[in-house]
Amino acid sequence: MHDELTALIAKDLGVDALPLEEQKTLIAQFGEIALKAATLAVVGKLADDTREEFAKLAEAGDAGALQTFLNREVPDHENLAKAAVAEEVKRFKAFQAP
Amino acid sequence: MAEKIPFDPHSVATAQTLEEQKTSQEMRAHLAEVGVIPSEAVRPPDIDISRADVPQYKSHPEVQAELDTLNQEIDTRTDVEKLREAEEGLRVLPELFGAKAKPEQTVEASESVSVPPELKEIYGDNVPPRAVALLGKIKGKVKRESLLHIFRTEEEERKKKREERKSSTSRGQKPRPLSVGTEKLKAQMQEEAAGEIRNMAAARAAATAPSGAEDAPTIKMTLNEPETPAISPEAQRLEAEEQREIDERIEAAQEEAQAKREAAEAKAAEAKEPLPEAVQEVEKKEISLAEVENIVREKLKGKVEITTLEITKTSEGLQIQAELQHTRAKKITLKGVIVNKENTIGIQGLNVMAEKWESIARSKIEEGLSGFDSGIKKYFEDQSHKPVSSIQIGETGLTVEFEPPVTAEAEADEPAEAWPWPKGENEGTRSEWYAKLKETVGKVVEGTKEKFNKAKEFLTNEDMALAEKAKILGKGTEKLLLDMGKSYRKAPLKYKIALSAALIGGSVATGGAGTFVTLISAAKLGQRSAGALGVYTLVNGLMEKRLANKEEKGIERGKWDNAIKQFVSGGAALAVFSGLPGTVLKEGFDAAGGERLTAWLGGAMGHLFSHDIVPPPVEPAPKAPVHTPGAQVPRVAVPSAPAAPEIQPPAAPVEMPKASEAPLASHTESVATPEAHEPAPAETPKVSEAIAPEIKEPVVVAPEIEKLEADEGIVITDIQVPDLEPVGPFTAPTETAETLEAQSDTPLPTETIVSPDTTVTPVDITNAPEFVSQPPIETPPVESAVETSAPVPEAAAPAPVEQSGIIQNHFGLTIPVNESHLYSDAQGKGLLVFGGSPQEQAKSMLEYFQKDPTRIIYAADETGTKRIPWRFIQGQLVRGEPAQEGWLFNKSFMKPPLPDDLAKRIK
Repeated sequence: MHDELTALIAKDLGVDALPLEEQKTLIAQFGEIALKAATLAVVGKLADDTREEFAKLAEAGDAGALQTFLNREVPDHENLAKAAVAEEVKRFKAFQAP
Repeated sequence: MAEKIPFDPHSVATAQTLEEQKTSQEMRAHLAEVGVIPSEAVRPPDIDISRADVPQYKSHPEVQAELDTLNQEIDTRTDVEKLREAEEGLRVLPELFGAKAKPEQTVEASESVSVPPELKEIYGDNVPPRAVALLGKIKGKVKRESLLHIFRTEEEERKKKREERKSSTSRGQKPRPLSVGTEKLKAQMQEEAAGEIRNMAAARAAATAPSGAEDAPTIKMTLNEPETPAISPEAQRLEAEEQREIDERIEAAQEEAQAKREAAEAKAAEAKEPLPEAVQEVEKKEISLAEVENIVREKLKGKVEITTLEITKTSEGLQIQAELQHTRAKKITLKGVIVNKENTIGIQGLNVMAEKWESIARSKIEEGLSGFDSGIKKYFEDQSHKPVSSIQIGETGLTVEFEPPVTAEAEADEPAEAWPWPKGENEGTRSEWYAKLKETVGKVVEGTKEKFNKAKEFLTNEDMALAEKAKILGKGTEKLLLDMGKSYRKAPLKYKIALSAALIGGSVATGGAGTFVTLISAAKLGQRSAGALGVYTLVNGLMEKRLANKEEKGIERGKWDNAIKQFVSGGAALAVFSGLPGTVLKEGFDAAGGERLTAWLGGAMGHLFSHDIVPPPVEPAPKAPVHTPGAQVPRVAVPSAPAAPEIQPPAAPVEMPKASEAPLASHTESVATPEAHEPAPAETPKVSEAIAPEIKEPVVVAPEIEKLEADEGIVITDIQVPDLEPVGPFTAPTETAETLEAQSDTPLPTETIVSPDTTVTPVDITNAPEFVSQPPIETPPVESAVETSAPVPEAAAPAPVEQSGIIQNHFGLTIPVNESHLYSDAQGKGLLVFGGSPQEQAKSMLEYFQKDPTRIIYAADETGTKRIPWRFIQGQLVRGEPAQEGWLFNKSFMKPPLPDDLAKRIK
């Protein structure tokens, strides 16, 4: 079952031709990159004095506080994050293109 | 002294009288006729032997009859014939007796006699002297010609007879069998002939010997067994050399044959020509009933508990009878017969009876026993380390057949079995094609590996580039990314994939569960992972049940259904990671469910309340309890034992009263009385009841979830939808309901939003706000869940307090402990509420939030051990999760605000 989900993601990432275990490894590694890229995209929009606060809130793991903070500081953070991930996907697929 | 005369059989006749010679000749002729001696041994008579007469044997009628016949034949012959036979008999006689044959005396041997050329033409080099004599006596050309004709004819006939005799001898033809009497006579005659010859030889020796009998030659003859003459040393040497040569030739031939074989094998190996396969016996093994029982136990392991299990042989197959136990289905009785099903093994007539939830029990058992043959196969392959080719069931029980072992050469080189060989233009040898195939496969594998390695390298480089980017953004960001990466890498692979799915789904696909806040929070998996697992299981089970229901209605489950189930489950888990309040989750599940749940999660994570979701109609809660910080807060009812209470059908729908609709008096009443602080479960419907129709039955945990449990080492089988006991919504005390209407850009249709600009009247304790506590779903392993499931003491002291009412902390700040005030922390960023009662603290927070609703104020929890964040969201004071410090496994709850944390009083 979980392999079907993997297959769907692998297709999006263009690694579906690889063996399943290698697909999983790459998907997991890509997830970390995508998450970091999204975070940086949002943090990059923050003013210098608010970055530390963002880091604290993120570290505290309080999604509600984080949500409030981002809504206030970076209202478009959702689109920023999505665009960052989409860019990473695009780069990853472009890299694999012959 | 007598003179020694060598024995000469040819001269024997000279010692005989004519009569004796005649008798002897007749006897020899007869012996030759009956096969005792060769016909060549019949000596031709030197005298008239025209008549055969053997007086001493005439008394025997058989002999007489033979003689008569013989005489008749003799009478028919010419003299020449008689002469020829006699000559021939004499010639071969010495051989008959084992003596060395004396060269036949021919005419050539005699130098004195001239041989007519006509005779040489007929006889060759062996011209009989008598023929020369006869021809010499004949005068006249005609007579000579006639005689020569006779000689020629006779010679031809003689040669013909010889050829026939030789051929009959070579064919192994035996002479006509003799009668018993004739056989006796034959033996007697042989003995007599031998004696006669010995006598003649002795007489001759006596006659020729000069003196002394002692020097007489001893004649030793064996008629039937001629003595093999000894060979000379020279002959022995020659024979030895010949034998040696033969041996050498044989040895050389053997070496040559071996070399040829080796060359042929090498050639065959080079051409990869399959050598004749050895006949391999198929290994079979009969499975004992105990082993079958083990397999059944193994198959049902984790599904049910086996109380008793009995397997018996029947004519139909192996009958299974078992008594099982299941946490929900209780006692289960199982019956079935293991039978052959086409080419495999299956269970026929599976009969499952359970005390409760029979359908669940049946599905569990069917699931467990599905692929029974593969279970057997795996069991024996694990045991024997040999592949099983087939499984059969018969009267003797189960029998497995193992595949014949594959030789290492075949395994390493090429497939053992023959496969269609390409013909035509691309025709090539097997080895050539195999090499091509191997090369192609190798290239593919190599290419795949290369692609994987390059992709990994690319991602590693990306990671490094992001780290560099983070450095530019400051140390805090760099540390955040570093910690995020550490936490992420420690997470189970399944969650990494779920997170990736949410990320990619949110960016690539249309929609998706992931929002930035969700995901960034999900990266912190440590503390909430167990709770998320619970939700994952819950949602997965819920989805599984829905899919199963669809299947019951004849709608086949597709791959997409399975995938979306996984996706939704993962999304739900992510939502929990992010700290999404449990009530929100549950309402979302209730209202959206199915495939829409994904979209709802996306909205919920972004806005905490989805715009897609319309909460159920709100009815006034006549006695809604009031909760203030530090007061007893109803929590998520988390089942603490496997036998968790099942979800009950709703007594009434969940209703959230609108502030605008709720009479102000009711609010006043509800918050003013002490009774309001007590939960009123009987009067307040549970939110979870709203989804009860969807999950009337316990959730059937999908197999992959069980696998997940096994992988993660967390038992989540019995996780149920937690019971939530929501309290009524907080509405700020205002003069009119209209003033409480939210001025939000997107007003929610059913929720009252308190505008920051709304003028807040002084809040009386009796009108203390009701805080909506929205704790997340938590599972027993979670530390906080354990705490929240226990009764909470009411209004625990938030901080050390002196009875005098005034203390001074290390900042030198004077703190009235009996009064509620807001303070800033040492860094000047965090807001802390300290002092007074919970109601007073709530009042202080509300007052502040009217000015700045975006801030977070931390207060002590009801136990006075943790720090709780409070936010002002959509007109309500919302309690958050206890604040934590550290990452992943080093996380801990923050202590409540203490006097020494207070740096400056704000209000």
